[in-house]
Amino acid sequence: MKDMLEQKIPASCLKVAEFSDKQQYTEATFWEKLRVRIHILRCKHCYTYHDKNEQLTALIKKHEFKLLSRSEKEDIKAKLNL
Amino acid sequence: MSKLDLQPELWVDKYGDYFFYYALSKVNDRETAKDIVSETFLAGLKSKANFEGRSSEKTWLSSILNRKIVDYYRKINSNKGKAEVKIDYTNQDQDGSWLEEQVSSSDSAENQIENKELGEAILSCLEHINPKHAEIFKMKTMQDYDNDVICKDMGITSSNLWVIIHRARIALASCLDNSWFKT
Repeated sequence: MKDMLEQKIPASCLKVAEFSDKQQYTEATFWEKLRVRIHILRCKHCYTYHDKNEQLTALIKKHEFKLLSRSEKEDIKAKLNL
Repeated sequence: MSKLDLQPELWVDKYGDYFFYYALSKVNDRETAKDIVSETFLAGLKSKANFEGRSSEKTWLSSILNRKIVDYYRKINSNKGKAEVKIDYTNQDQDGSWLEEQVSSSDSAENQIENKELGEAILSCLEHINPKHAEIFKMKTMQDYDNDVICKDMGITSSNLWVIIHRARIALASCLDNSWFKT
């Protein structure tokens, strides 16, 4: 899954990549999702990207991450005088 | 191997989440885990002159973290008589079923280990990308912050946010490719 932004990729594919990303966070509209579905039928590159994107989402969702919040990190930095 | 330089100013952003996650899995208490992580960084800062550069910065800090976790358990175990096991059974009919409940827990030990490894693998992969991008990705994907909050806190526009998320997802997918994706 190479960086689509850094290659000479058609604008339509870049847009579909963005919609695919939004879809992973349930922020894509109905039309954006439809555009992804239609586009990946004829574009192997985007199909691979979308497929990997979905797999990545599933993998991350398998796990409940307990991380430090921004303020907790700032507290630690303050303790360290950094 | 050439001597590596320490970058203490990046420690919290780069390793904070991984160390916190690791410490939390060992001590099961958020505040304690947070204290252990800050003590680790503090000890690292104090002893940075001893860093010989024969291992990576992360490996060196991890060994300090492990010592801090051992110290924590030594300290609580030395408080003799204070340890207690809380079991909430109120009637005699339930006596003895505690062990069975633990064994029949829906999340098997194997799943728990795989999940812990997965979490560590994901956080490790995120250490290799721009720390600001990793932070944005974590806020969006793992901590469910609103887009507006992320953009405001990190000083980026909404379209920048999606570009950063896109790049982080690509970097993460390629890092996890061999070990976690079954294609």
